[in-house]
Amino acid sequence: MGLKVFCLVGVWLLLANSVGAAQKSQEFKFENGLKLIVQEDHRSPVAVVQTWYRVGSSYEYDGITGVSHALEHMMFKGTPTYPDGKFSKIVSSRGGLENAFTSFDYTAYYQQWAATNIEKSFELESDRMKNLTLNSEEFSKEINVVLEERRLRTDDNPQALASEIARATTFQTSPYRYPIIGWEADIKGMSVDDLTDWYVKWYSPNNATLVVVGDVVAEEVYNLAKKHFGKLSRVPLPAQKKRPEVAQKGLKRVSVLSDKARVPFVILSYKAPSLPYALESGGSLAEVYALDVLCEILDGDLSSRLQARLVREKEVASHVFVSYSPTARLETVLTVTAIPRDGVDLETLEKYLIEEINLLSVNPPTDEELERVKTQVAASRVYSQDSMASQATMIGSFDSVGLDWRLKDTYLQEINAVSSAGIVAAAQKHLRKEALTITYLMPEQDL
Amino acid sequence: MIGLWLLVLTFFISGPAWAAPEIHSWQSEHGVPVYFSNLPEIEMVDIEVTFDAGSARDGSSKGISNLVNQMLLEGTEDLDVEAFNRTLGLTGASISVGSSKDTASISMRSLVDVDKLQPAFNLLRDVISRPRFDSKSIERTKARVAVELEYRAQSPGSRASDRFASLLYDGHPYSSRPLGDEATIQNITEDDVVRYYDTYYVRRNMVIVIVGNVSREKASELANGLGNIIPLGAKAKKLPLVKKQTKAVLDRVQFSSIQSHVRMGGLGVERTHPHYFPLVVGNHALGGNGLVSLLFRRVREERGLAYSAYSYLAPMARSGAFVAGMQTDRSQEEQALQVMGDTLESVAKNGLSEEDIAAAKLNLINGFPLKLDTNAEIVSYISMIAFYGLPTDYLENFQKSIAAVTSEDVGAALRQYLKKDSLLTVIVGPDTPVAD
Repeated sequence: MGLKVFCLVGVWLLLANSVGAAQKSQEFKFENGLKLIVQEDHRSPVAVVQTWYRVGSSYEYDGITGVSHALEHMMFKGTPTYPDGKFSKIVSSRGGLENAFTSFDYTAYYQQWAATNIEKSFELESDRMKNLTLNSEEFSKEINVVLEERRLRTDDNPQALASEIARATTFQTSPYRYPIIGWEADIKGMSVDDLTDWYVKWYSPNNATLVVVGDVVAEEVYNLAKKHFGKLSRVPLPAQKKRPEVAQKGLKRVSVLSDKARVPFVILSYKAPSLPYALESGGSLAEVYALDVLCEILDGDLSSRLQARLVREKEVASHVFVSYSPTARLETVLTVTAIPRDGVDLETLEKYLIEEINLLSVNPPTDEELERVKTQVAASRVYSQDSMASQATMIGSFDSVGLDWRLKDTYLQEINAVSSAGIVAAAQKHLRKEALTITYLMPEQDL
Repeated sequence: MIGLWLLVLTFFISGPAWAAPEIHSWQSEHGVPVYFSNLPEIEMVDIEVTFDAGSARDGSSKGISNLVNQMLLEGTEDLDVEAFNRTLGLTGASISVGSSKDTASISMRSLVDVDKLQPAFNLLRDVISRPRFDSKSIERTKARVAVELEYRAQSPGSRASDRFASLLYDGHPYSSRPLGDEATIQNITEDDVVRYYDTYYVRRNMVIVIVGNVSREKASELANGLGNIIPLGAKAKKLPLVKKQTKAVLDRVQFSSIQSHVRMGGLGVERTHPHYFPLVVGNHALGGNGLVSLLFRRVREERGLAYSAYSYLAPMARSGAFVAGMQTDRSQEEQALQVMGDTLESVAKNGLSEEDIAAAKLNLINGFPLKLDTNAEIVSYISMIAFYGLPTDYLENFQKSIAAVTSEDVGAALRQYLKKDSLLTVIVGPDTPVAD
């Protein structure tokens, strides 16, 4: 660490500009592999700066699960230049918001403050990209914080615990079976050397993307980024073995018994393709968009099928949630989660849910259902301009899984192209019993 | 110290050009206060209508405020719930409801094209003025609330917050949680729902906020369209004053969790109180400023005892609460309690360091533009100004009000509001550590 090789950096590639509804966006790439994406938004004299690393829990393996997240915590512990919380003090004194998040596929750090501070962000982030102080004394305190975080989020939260088990059951060989925060034993067994190793492997300019959204001028941002990150050198990234999910050979079931739970639920988890997965495996992108619209038909708003039929007409569920992440890096999952109405058992609720999913083929989405989804997607594109932070997060999350971030602007066209027949075909292909995992969360007093 | 004070000035004067959103306010033709801010950059508009109809108005029917508020999305006189949802979905607008101890509100976000805005606005108008309280919907909504209550009951954090409020506001309408109780919810009848709605959803309890890309004329027309269909009614009575705690209380609730959840604190103030700004600064330095606040440093950074350690100030129509909180493994509970208790005691006795106060002020002043950088945030600030009757230059003056706070003001306020001999402590957790 502390290696500083000065080398000339120039614009390696200036990809096409993209003009969104109101914002101008531009991408730059540096010789050391760092990518910079700038979206100008002059509504308010503020900016958000996000530094994304292409590493998260799906890069981990048995025994070190949670290492990406633990490292994210340690990234706030200082460097020789900015020791002892100095980083956070600087950000705070200038009125900034800062934090970080770790996901399956990426880890990101952000500051949001007056746009005049973006150079300070670059100075601080380029410093901790290479010069982080990782010592065992700070680590031993911080790993306890991580354990407390796990107790708070998962171990004392029956629904979260059941979701973690559902995921680990759904995926047999894919690293998506790991919880982002890590298994408890792995967190307890972690050492500062595990983190140092991970940091050296993955934290380098060629594994990072800077995203800046705000009251800035793209070329100026580029020059400032060059000044601070340009001096960092490229580091070869570790070779990664592919760990694809094996084909599922039939329905899987798991029950979670909990003496803490008072609210039961059922999760249906269907294996499903994502955009990056479809791109890599030669699959169909249209199918992914069709699944995305399908989720809206099932649970997009209060007029959607599951809300209208299962919550209101048949009154078998009190709450229903559908979730699907078309931008996951690997083969992903489409989940339908439902809480039964009082007096309805989980078996009955499951039967109704599956019946409703099968009905997609019998009663394909109507023109009116499709129009409603497309109208709402178009409107939400306008509404999403309201938050610079969510614009930046969208750009960074697309880019970090290898997708073109300009998808956020062309997404609407893709959605508009989805047909009723396409949805039926996608449902028949992917929402099959053979690719399904069913999880019950059962309060123990009910047994 | 001089350095830090210079920093305040530097940032304050040479900081980026930022102006608070301009707020215009007037009375609608039927006498409803209207607050408007023109933000033309995005082709959308937000309308938020707030009534003095929060759970503090529940009386013995605990949970009725939330129930009535939720019922507004269950259809209108003209459209049953299915037709209502289908029609709304085709406008691209969203209508949502929300309630707190003081307020019940209805919010809409819509595109501004006339062919989208007009039908969405008509739905909003009918949601507010002509709701359909049919008995099947009421029963279903009650069942959903029952599940939410069960969900809350399994969460040690929610338990701790509810328990804290029930002791802090003992005997006051603020003491109960807005969701109510299973039994009180079941006893609420269709007539109760209609009566509550007729009593509190009236013009005299109503404020309208409109923010977005519409002209003042258009905003006025929209506001008149909402104000003229609600009966005048009677203004809700002022809530009773909250009785002050006179002795320190430590309350422990046994719970089957791994962690113990702690709440420590007492009464705060309302926004117009002279101690409000000193307390904002004091709270920010103590536990409101994330990674750099005192509690975070003492509990988490220096000792690794908790994931979150914080304090917050929740001003309401009557004395809000000033609370510190954290959660930790039962085996470390005594140690964590000691650290938090000692921190609060020393702050109450000796105030905060000049450095901590200066840092808190810097963050509050320089960070204020960030609190108002989305339309959504601007809407909620203006709703707060409208509902509590704060001056329309509140946002404009916020930074000045913070800058004017002295460390003596902060010390005096903390001494009064964190008094050790009236501090309330609630712990929800297992009696003994849970073995691995």
